[in-house]
Amino acid sequence: MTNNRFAQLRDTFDKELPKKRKQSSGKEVAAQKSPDSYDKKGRYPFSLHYDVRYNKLEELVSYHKAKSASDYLEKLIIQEWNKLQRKLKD
Amino acid sequence: MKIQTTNLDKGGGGKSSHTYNEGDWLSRVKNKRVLLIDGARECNLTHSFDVTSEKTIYDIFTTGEYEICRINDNLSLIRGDERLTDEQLDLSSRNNKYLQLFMWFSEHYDELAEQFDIILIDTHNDESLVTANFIAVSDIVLGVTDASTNGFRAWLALKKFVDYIKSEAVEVITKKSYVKAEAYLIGNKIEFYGNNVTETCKQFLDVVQEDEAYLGSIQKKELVAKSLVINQSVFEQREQMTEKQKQDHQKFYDNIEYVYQNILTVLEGEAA
Repeated sequence: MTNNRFAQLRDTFDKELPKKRKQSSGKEVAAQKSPDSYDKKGRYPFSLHYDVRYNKLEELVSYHKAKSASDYLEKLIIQEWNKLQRKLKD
Repeated sequence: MKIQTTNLDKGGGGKSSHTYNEGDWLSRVKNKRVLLIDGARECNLTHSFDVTSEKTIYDIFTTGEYEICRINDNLSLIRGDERLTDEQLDLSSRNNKYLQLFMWFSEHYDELAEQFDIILIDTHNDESLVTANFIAVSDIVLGVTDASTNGFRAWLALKKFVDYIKSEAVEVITKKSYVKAEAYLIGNKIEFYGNNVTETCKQFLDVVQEDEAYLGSIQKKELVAKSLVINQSVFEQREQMTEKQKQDHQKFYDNIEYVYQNILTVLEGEAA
């Protein structure tokens, strides 16, 4: 076998695992729409409003000093859940 | 009108410097009417020109509106935009996601062909849908790499990426691809000591010279590195040199013009 690293790479490249390429899925589109039930009730947290979620999410994450968008949303959901529980108790 | 996209999924190989210098060579030395399109979201090519515009490449992908900035008689630019990402453009959910720019070019081909002989597109170092859109409209895709194994691997991957785009962007009945781009390679930042190259560069050159798509290599030179710092191409820098300086750099200029001529030859559809 040759000592040339470039030749080695060329000869083994086709055997390397093929790259996984991004495939489009309907998921992204579906996720951009708020659940219908939110609209029916007409009440949902401000941060979950369509425009806010997609245009302001990054700013909200940094404002609340969350580690990531999912961290921020998780905290938000827990907060809303607790609020709901308190209301139910009352 | 011919279209070239410069791409390689590895940063630091000299894509933007190359596009800048090639664009200036074509317009200044070969007297071609050149349109540069900055398709890289870091906008390095755009930053090299003191021009501004309301519209950028982002608008072409969104509203289809465009604005061309005139740099000089032979050179123009469509400015880059930091929002040029698959996510911002939501390309993955669009129909014909590889052919968004292709459709725009089809609509505007005649007006562009009247104004320009050659379009050079600089891209981000990735295999995104945005980059795929640029490749889909091109006659040739030029990989620019230094003599590193990572760069060489990226070149091997680029050839596969071009084939992949061709296989994806097909006319559904005839199965004929809309994409006709061919991938070519140039080496960049090749290090010389005296008349010899370093061992790594030698190994690199030994292998790429066997590749039919290889069009030549450009020497590592301060003149090239400086071109994007002082915003003067190596050819503009030459015009300000003394005769002695010109002689000192003669070999470099002969070589770079030889490589650029090879690119122009394949771009214009003649065998290299």
